[in-house]
Amino acid sequence: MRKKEIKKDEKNSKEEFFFSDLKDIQLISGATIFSAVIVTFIAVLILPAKQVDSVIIVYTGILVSIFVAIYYTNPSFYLNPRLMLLPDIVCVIAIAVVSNALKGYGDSYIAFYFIVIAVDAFAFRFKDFLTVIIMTLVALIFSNIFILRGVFTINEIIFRSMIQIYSIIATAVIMRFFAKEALTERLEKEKIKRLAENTLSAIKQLRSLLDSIGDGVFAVDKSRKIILANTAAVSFLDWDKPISGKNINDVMQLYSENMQKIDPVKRVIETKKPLSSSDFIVLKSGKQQKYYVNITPLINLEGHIQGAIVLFRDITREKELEEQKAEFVAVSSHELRTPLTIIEGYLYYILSSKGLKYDDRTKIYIEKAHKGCLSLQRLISDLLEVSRAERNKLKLFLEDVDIVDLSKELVSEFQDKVKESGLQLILDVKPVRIPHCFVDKDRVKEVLVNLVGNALKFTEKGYIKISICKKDKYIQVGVTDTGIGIKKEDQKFIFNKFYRIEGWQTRKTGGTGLGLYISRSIVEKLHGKIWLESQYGKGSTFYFTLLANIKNKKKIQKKPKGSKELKEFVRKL
Amino acid sequence: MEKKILLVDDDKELCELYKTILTAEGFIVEVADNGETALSEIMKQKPDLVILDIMMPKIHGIDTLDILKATPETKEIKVIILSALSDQKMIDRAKDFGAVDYIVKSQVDMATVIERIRQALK
Repeated sequence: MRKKEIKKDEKNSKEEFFFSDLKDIQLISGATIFSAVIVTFIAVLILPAKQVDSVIIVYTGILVSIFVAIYYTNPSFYLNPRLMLLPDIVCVIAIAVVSNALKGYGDSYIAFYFIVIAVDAFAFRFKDFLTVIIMTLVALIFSNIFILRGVFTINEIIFRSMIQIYSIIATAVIMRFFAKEALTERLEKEKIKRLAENTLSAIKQLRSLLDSIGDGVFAVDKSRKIILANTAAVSFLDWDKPISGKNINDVMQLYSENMQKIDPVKRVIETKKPLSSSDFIVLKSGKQQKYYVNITPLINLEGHIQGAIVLFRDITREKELEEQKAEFVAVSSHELRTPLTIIEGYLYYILSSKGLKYDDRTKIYIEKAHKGCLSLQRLISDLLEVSRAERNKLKLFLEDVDIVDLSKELVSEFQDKVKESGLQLILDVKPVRIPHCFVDKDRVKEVLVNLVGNALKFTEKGYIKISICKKDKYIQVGVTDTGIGIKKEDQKFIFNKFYRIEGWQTRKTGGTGLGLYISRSIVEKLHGKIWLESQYGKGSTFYFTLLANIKNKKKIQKKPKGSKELKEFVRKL
Repeated sequence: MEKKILLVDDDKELCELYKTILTAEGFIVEVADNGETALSEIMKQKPDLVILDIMMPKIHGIDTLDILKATPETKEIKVIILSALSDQKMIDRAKDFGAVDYIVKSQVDMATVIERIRQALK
């Protein structure tokens, strides 16, 4: 059974191929006949009138032309296998009539016809040279057989040769033209076929690529019906029925953190803006699973919305780990701080109380221990700050802040320290009216304290200048010092975590290497930029920018007043 | 006259440390290990200053502060929060509830703590 079917298929495909080529072949042979007719007309015009019955030839030519015109312009004729022999019959009759009318020249006309067949064969089969050679030979024998008999004059022989050469050239030229067309058409067909095959394999490749993505991927149309889903999406959701055409909300209903049904896909399609969040919840066999979902609008070249691409991942485990980590940090902060306070406290007490007796050496050791303790405390504070910033928990309390007032406040706080080290601290504001910023006051102050503190650490003489100016939408704050400066190769690393320029043996200053890292986190969180300009040996300027007058109410976090909210807050900590 | 301070913290060692140091600094120091005993001690002793931890068993620091400030007899007593929590949100909260100062444990050295206690008592 199977074999038979296969054979049938082969036959069908062969037939198909034959018919698709048939059109080309027929069109070319039509053109060949037509060119033969034209050559006949020319022959009538050139040949001596007495010897030729030109009226019969012209009428035959006209009739054949009409036949050619009707037959070859109508596909139901030239593509009909039953009528395939019709042109041949017409031609044979026409040749018989014409060659009779040509009288003495009839044989060369028949020869011409064979040449036509030869070129014809050459044009279609392209590679069938044997046919071409045989036909040409036959044609030559026919056309020259009478020369051997010696019936013709020299003039007649020249004419004969001319007509032979002409017909070969004319037919060849016409055939070449048509053959080229047929060839290009065939090549184009093959190209399209290959292109279709390539496209198909590319689609298959894309499909397998899509299926090997570990995250779930859905493509939905404007009405949120699924048009495409990868294997991960289907298996994530344990879906065993056909998924195409289902509404995405029937397959994957998303919930917000407080278990409200939500439809973010709809929102993305309506707003044309992408959305991604790790706070989505999906109910799977009654259990709450946390999902990361990224929805991107699908927009065509004309800019019209077509639907959306939904990418999702189960992050329940990651979320658990994150919570554990947060808890660990909170617990360790508490657990580390209390014993450290005790150590530092007693060391302080030993050093400060006059009643206790110990020798100078012991005093030095206790002082060292106390100093170490203080830097440990600083390190822990900074570490907690970093871990909080990294958990994106660097929460901001945005309020209207006058950066000039804040700087004045800072200058007065630093005044004592500055005087102690024999420096000058200058505040330089231009223009006089600087717009307020909508930022977190304490955080911005922290940045300023870090920058001014660093300047103080690395400057031995000269001044420290805080300059404030307005640049476009931003307020730019610069802290300039006349200190040691920073080498080019160190500049790009300076905002990195724990980055210290010198090793501990050459270092004269304290610190944890976290100040600038924290400052950068804060400034970037406030949508600003932080950078530095420095010349080694001459001093440095650290700049940061803050957006002026932005009022984004969404970002303000209301301060809970009631003690219930507070208890909840503490529990979360 | 010597100022009276009530120290409320559930960590025994920490209480002893502060008691030793603050006594040496010339204060009268009493201790309580949770919010509940602290409240009854405050009623009895009427201290000038209460140093309050936040994370404690039974009644927690901010609630203790809330009750203190809501009671007419005790609302004038100054309160310093001394906690391991360094969250800015928490600091703001404590100040909203009427704490005069908020000291993060081990974020400042003992000398500064004493200085800030003196400042609060002025």
